[in-house]
Amino acid sequence: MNAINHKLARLFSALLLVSLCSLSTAADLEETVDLDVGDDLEFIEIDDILDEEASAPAATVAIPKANLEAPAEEEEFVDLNMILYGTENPNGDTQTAMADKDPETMQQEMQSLKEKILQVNRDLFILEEDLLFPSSTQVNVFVSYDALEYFQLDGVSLKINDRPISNHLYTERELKAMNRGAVQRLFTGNLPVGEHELVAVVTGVGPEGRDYKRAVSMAFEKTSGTKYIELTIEGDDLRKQPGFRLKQWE
Amino acid sequence: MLRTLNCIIIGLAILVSPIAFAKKPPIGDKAPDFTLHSDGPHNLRLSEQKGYIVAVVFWASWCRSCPVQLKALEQLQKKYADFGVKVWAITLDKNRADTQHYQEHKGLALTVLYDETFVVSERYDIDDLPSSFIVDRDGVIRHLQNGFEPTDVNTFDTLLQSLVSE
Repeated sequence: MNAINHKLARLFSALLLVSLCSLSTAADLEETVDLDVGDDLEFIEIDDILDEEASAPAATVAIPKANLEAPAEEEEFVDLNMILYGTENPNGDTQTAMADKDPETMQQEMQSLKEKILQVNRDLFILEEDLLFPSSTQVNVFVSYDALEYFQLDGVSLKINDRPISNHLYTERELKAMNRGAVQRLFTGNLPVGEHELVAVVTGVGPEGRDYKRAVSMAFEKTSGTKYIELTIEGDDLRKQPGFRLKQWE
Repeated sequence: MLRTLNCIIIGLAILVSPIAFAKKPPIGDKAPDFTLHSDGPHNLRLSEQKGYIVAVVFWASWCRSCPVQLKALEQLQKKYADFGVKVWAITLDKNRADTQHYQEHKGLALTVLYDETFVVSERYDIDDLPSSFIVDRDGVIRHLQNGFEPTDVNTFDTLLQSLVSE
């Protein structure tokens, strides 16, 4: 298919070259004839004109002149390959190979390449997590927030076995995301198998614009699998207060 | 026994060294991220300001040379507000009341952030007040400065102008 395209392109360029040359030759011929006729215009009769037409070979003498001028015109001539492929040699150029491809095919290839990159990135992320936080010791703490009417979240501090592990302040952007249902992974770490205690201290602005600070704690047993704990902040419609709860996910 | 002791000492030295030799983040590096309480309704995080040029100044209400820089930065913020320039004034006052008192009496018109636990000022190795740095739209540190002279206004102006036109 590519070979046919190249041949067609070359044929078309050759045709263009020939037509340009013939046009220029004809123009030169006309010029020459006009000049020759113009010199003796008043004295020429119809026979003379016929004779002049018959003496066309003399006019064709101008052809070499046209040929002499040809190089100058060739300089102006633009190779069709340059227009089509951006190079005079369409063979063996990667750019040409790209240009040959259908835009849709290229788009598909780009899309598949992007997907592969995303997949590799995801695999690397999982590998990194597996290495840093093996499932036998991994502990994750998540935060969900659905109490906008009663509580504006400001920050969460986490302690495991009385040791501070995380201190996070929330920005407007994060709060908006959480109000839309996002769950935030606040902490990922390692803990040995056994009994542990998690304490979460939540600060913010409570009902009637008052500063609000609450602590919730939970004792949990770390087994050989990954541990998931969620801190849920929910509005309590009966008490008109926010509620805080730590929940284990198995 | 001696060998074990040596190992412990070397280990401790390695652990402590990053703290002991903490230096200012160099110009051209990504600015270390931080989140602080602000005088506005929400906390502010530096990494969320991508697309803006952020000039940060560390100050305190008891610092005598700080008002000059704060006033200069107020003027620059007014000048470049439409070009996405923000100025944050991180106060190292231990009590917010001191900062608020200063704001009321001096009429400070900058976004004030509270670094009460000095986490950010330690991360940026702030020894002198006022100290300042400028972060470009990509979150890269473009200028660091200790102290402030009245002539430094021109330096800040020129720098902000060039950053705005980038």
